[in-house]
Amino acid sequence: MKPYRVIVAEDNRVLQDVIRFNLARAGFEVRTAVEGAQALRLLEEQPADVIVTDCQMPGMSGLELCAAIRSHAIYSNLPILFCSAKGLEIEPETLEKLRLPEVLCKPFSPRSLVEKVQALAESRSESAPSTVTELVH
Amino acid sequence: MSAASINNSGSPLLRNAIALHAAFGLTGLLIAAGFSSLGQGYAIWLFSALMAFILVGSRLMQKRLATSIEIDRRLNLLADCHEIRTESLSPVIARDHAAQGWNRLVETAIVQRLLDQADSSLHESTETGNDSLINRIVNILNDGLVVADSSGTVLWRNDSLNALLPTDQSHDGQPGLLHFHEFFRTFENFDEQIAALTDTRTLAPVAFEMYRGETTNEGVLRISRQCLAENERSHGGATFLWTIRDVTQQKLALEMRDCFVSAATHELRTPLCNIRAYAETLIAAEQINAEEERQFLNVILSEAGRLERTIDNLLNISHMQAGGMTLDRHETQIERLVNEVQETIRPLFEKKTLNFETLVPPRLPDLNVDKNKLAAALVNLLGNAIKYTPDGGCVRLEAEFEGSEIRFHVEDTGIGIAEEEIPRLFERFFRSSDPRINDIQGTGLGLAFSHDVARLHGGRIDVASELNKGSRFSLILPASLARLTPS
Repeated sequence: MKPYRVIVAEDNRVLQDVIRFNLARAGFEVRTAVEGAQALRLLEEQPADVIVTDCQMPGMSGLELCAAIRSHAIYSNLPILFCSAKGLEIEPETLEKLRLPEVLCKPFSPRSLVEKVQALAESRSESAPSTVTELVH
Repeated sequence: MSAASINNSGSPLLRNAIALHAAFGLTGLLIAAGFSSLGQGYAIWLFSALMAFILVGSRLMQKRLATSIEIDRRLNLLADCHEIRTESLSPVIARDHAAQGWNRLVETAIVQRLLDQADSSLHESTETGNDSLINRIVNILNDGLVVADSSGTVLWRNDSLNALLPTDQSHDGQPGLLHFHEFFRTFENFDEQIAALTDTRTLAPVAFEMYRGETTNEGVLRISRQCLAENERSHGGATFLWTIRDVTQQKLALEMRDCFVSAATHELRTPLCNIRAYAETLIAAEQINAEEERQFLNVILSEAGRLERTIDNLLNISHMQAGGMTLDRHETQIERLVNEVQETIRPLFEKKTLNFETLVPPRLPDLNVDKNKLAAALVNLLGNAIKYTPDGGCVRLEAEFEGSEIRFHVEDTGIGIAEEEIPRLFERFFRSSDPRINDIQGTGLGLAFSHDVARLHGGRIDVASELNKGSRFSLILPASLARLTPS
């Protein structure tokens, strides 16, 4: 079975490294970006099964990245794990509109991040048998 | 007060007395004439005796009545004049009982009159004094005050208002033609607040803010309204006092404080988040090689150092804000100071591709300074240079001892600072409005701290900057801090 592909958008490189380490350990194929536009380019280059994004990033922010992803019909159901600092409130309407069912609050434990990414990847493969790759090509 | 001597002329009492004497004399004359019929010799003697009697009696009576006559004359004068003056109330010079009575009366009247005069003049002066005092107070207040009726027509306004809301020339300065809300026509949120500006139904106090432009920088006025008097029901409406206060500075301070709290929280949370993630990974990882383990522990250590620096900065800031920052001076070698600064900022360069050079000429004197604070001030200047210089740029630290000054120049080829923002750079919480720095974290306190450190050492920070070209911050210390050692 092919490993799930994850794109991680996180500007804090130290945190990005440890996220990559933990996801790779759990068997994911990980690509990283330091801001939204770079993550979007990675997604266009090669499809992904889950996107993990931070909220505040220089350049294109996490919310802008989500909006850009959702603007493509083929990514309308692509699972996104949205991470945000505690206390940084995001309007529930915005979350609903961008189809972000859950927000992972920082600081988070790498284990919970891995579990959530795993669950999102599996839910996607169950609900949508046809992969993103097939939709794109 | 002058005492008047007794003057008998013109007194009605005297005239009456003379008339009485004359009548008495005439009667005596007639009686004498009757006697003369009895014999001429008797008549002549009798007449003479009578005349003498009359003369002596008249003189005696005149002397006896003199005081009363004088008092009578004055009473008559008082009766004739329109206004009683103090001069007309003079005492009479005599020792008799009537004179004593009159003089007491005069004294009492004069004292009373003087008291009355003093009282009324005091009252007058206080009244006019109060008016001008209140006027002056009202006009030197920083707040603009407007009294308007229920239709919004401006009935009165103080002078201070002109500084806050320039008078609309189209109304020729005639307050009667002006409506309160018209002052705010050019304000950003005029349409939004028009209801509040023209509302006269609610009598309860109302307060809201009016923005001159889109940003707080352009000016914010706090408008509050209180009901001065509720008119009778038949007329309806009320009279309102509007107070207009410039709250731009307070609003800016609040915004800057919020920015600071959010930036400080981010600065604290980021290393904490990293430490936690690495520690948990180390604990949870079942198989981890020694190299990775060492690498992870190093990250934890480095992030703990970052957290410590942030906390030190926050403490410095809190000292600085309390005005309680003091210097702990020691002999310091410039070269060692520069080396320490370089070591501290090394991690900042790891994230960026920048050219960094230092230029410290040989044989610089030692300085009697607070090494830690001076190093922190230079780290702040260099930290900014690194933050605001895009990859591929150049950052330079140069020490220089020339004449009366020791200078540390921090130069970069970064985004530069707009000329109008340079004077505000050292304000606490100030952050440039350049959109390019939106994504760069900063508390807006680093430069304020560096500036305070320079000032406490008797020095200053000079700034030269050009947008898109770069900036040069020069921390300048007086040469008196130099300890010249024999070479």
